[in-house]
Amino acid sequence: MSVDPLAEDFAELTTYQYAGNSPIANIDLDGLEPWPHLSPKVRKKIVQGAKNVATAIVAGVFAPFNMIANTHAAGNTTDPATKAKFQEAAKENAKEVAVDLMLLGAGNEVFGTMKGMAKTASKGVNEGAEAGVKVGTTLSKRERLGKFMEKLSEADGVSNPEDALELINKTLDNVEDAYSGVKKNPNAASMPNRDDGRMYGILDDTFVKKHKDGSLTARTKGNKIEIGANGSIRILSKDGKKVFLEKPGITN
Amino acid sequence: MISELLNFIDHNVTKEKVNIDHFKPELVFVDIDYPKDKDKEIVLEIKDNIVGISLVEKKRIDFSGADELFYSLEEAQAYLMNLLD
Repeated sequence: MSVDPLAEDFAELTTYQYAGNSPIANIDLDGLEPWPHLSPKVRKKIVQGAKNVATAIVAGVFAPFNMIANTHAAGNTTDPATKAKFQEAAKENAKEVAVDLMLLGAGNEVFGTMKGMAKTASKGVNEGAEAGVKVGTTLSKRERLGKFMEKLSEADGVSNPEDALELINKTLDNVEDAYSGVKKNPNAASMPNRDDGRMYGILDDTFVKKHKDGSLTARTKGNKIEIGANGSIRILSKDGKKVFLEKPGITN
Repeated sequence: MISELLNFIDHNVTKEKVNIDHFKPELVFVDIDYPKDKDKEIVLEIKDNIVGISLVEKKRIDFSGADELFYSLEEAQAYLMNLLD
């Protein structure tokens, strides 16, 4: 057995998945990376493009040689009628060459379109996953964050900052255990950690500031979390202008 | 490492594009506008002798770790300049 050679490039996916965890939208013939499954219409266009290229290649092999031969023959003859005949044949050959080049161009264009379509489809699938479409047994980071927010909002309130911090970490841990597909790193407390595809919450006191009134401010790379002395939780954008979640604490 | 990296940023990035949060003496966050996508920013977490550099979507919640970690100032500077190019 060997480690998936593309594991580094797809850190968000477990190395045990097939077709990017989306076996309907993707195919994965060599076990390396997912490719979008193409519809019959797209496949037909690809086949037509390949036929055009093949036709152009076969025809294109002879036309330029015939054109050169007929041009030479026209130059070598003194008889006006024969000269005109060879010149006319060379013109026809030139037209064939032009058509061949056009076909080649068309073939290339179809091939380019095919690549573009595959890229667009792949992008669509990825964006779908990122936007929260369920992929197999794991969920995208954005969807997991949605679950986290939902679970945190639903959870019973707490009455002190330490419990509030624990509630945040525990809620995120439960969501990540269930949906990230990435096993918890036991050394995650020594953050900042490298992103391993799983989210870890606030595990290090370095990321928590304690205030005189008992409240806390915690930081992640993307957010600021204000925790009140009564256990209230506010997850904000770093500049504090956008509130993502507001959960009241319990005042005894 | 914190002061050296901040000094480097001061010399290489326009002030308007940088926001520095001295969260704790041993932990500084630096947000820099990402030139290739206005909805994203480069976030540096400078802690002790480790620099975490990430590309973060500005208006989203994010609890993930750093995209890349650097234990060398020079490597962190090179990676940052590459993102800013």
